[in-house]
Amino acid sequence: MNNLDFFYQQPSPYSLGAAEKQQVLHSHLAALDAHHQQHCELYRRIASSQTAAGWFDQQVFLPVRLFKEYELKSVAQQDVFKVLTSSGTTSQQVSRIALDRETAAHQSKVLVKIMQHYLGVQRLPMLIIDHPSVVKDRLSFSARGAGILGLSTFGRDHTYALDDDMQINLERVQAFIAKHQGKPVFIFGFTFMVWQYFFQVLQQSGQQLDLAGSVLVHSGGWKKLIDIAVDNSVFKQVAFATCGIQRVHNFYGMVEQVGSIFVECSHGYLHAPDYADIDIVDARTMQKLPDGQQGLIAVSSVLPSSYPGHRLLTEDLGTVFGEDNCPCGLNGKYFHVHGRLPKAEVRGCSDTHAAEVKP
Amino acid sequence: MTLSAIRLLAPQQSAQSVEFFCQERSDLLTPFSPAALEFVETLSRQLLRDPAFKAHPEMIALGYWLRKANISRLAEQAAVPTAVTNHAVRLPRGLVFHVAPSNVDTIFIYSLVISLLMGNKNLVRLSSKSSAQQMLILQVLNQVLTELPDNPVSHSLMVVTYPHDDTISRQLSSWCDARMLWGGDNTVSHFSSLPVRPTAVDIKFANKYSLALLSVQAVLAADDAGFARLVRAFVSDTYLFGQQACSSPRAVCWLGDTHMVSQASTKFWSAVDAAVNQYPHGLMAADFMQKLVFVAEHAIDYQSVLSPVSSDMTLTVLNTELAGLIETRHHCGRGTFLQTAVSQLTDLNAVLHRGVQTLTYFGISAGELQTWLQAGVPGLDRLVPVGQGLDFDYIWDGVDLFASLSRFVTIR
Ligand SMILES: [Zn+2]
Repeated sequence: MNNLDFFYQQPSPYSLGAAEKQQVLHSHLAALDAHHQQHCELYRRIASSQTAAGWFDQQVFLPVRLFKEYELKSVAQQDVFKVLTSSGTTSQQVSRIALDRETAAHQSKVLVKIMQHYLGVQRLPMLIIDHPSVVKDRLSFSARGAGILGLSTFGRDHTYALDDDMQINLERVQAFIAKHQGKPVFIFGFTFMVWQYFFQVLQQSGQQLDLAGSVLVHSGGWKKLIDIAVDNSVFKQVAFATCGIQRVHNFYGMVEQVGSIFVECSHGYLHAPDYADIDIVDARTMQKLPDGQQGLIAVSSVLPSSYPGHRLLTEDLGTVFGEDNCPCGLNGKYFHVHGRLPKAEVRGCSDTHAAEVKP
Repeated sequence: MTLSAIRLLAPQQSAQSVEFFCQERSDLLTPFSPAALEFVETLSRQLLRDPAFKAHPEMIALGYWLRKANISRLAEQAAVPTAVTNHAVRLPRGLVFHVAPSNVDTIFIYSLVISLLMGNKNLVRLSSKSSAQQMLILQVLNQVLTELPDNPVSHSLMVVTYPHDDTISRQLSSWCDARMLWGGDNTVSHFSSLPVRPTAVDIKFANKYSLALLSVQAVLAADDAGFARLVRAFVSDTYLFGQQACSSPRAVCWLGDTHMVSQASTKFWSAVDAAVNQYPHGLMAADFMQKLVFVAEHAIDYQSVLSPVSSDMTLTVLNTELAGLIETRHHCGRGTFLQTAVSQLTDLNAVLHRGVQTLTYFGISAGELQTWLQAGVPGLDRLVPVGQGLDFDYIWDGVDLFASLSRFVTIR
């Protein structure tokens, strides 16, 4: 029922100009609002409450954290085809996202459209900056494993750069490079893993790898890297210095909106594809902020119809810099993510010892 | 034994070991001893004099509460009737072990003071997580201890901290004669599982929930000055500790003519909205995010709906049925109010329980409230006018602290 043909027919995932996108995306998201109101009672209750306050121009944005606490779905249980779960250590709750076949199919198809924009339609030899066992145990699938499997469809001759002890297997990597000499390759890994176990190790040991001409795609957040003062430009400099990699694309995505990811362009900005949009919200007023101002990132996507995740308020901070006028030439809003919202101070006599009493 | 992990915070140095301090009982004082009175008076003076506390209204309030006049009034209230004193003598219990809440709410200082007024020795355990407020409390205590080196109270007080360690907590618990547990339900339950000696008592102050009861007619009829006072008083009851003190009202119940509720409520919240935006509430983006999540949780659980009375997230009002008024599982404070209306007091009985502590009221006569209470209510520990929600009373959570922190020896 969630027909995305109009979007699929566009020549690239960054085709729609602001005026047209506003109209098409708006009406599609509005249809999803009505769909979820009708099929998800919990969503309807939240929507009734939020709408009464007139937040977000009368649109309803669910805080992403809710998917950790409630099973929010807009399809019957028998139509749930698979349940995505977020990463999370044992102490944290994980998000549970119910997918039916249609939503899952849209997710894969849109991811293909977006990734092919950067990788081309040919499958490239793929170097994965992780260890192979991260995808082995399918029962206790980590988000890292799921991410690697998801992206693996865009590559061939999958080669893991690390061993299970997280050491670089130089022999294997060199063999991969030699085998695909002079051809473009696709490198994928999680931002922190790529930095910590690949670039840093190469840098410290003075090793040089010839991966010029390859495309590095990475994701997973900057939090750990910002703590050690590594930002995107440092990351890219080291990618070039150690491996000669010139094309680096970070992407911003979340388990609550798989598929319509926001990929970093050649000018270092994350871009909203035709399927998705981004708004910056002022937490105090719960209203959208103009371009250039920092606030909470709200993401919209036309994909989710099996669960009410089409408009979400994240706990990440970001700034939108403009729409359709990025020097890279791609359409869509372009933005930066600054990191997580700092935690609130806990006061008073609430249960603040909770962490302390655990043995 | 890992007592060496205990760090002494006040006094900064002591000739006594913690072990000796906890086991020695020859240095107990008697109730309302001149030494204790001098100690409390000095503490009050420090709090009111030191400019460091000016920016902390809760420290100033503590300073006022400790003033000589108030302590004398308390001593009178706590005085034992002659009929009892004729055949009973009040004495301290011995060593009182205070477990303070981790994000120091000054409230445990009140019970500490009552304890030392009764002549007990006091061992206070502060959270190992240091905070600005904790530093202030230690600063003032150390000032007093330095100023009164010869006062016996200075030698019967130890403030310590140690990393979470059941061995230490168990040992300290086994030495005390009374244990005061402040904190969340988990802390209180956890410490309760560590035994005290059979003759010792546990006094537990766990999580509590509070609400305000406003008369529809009284709010509508209030003159400008009276209404402004009400609003100021309500805001300080609720925004002083980010609405996270147990006694801060988290819900507002209107009492009266149901047709007039929306008019009274609009008048009230518009004024509160204006007032909180002038108030140094300290709420930040992460607080607002918490509230957004709570709004959704409460809508899911009770079908509550946001009220449009507020101009932004600093004030959040949720209209709910009576059943959703007392929500102790998710309520995040930070300026969030569940609102409903009842036409008579007894309607509230349906949702009150032992976890409900304070009811702050406006425009309802003490007589009416008395009648309601005397017929029996399933919850509530205290009813105070709006504005006194955070005031401390020696009867707390239904416990008379003077009585609990002393013992009677009868003589016939
Ligand atoms: Zn761009």
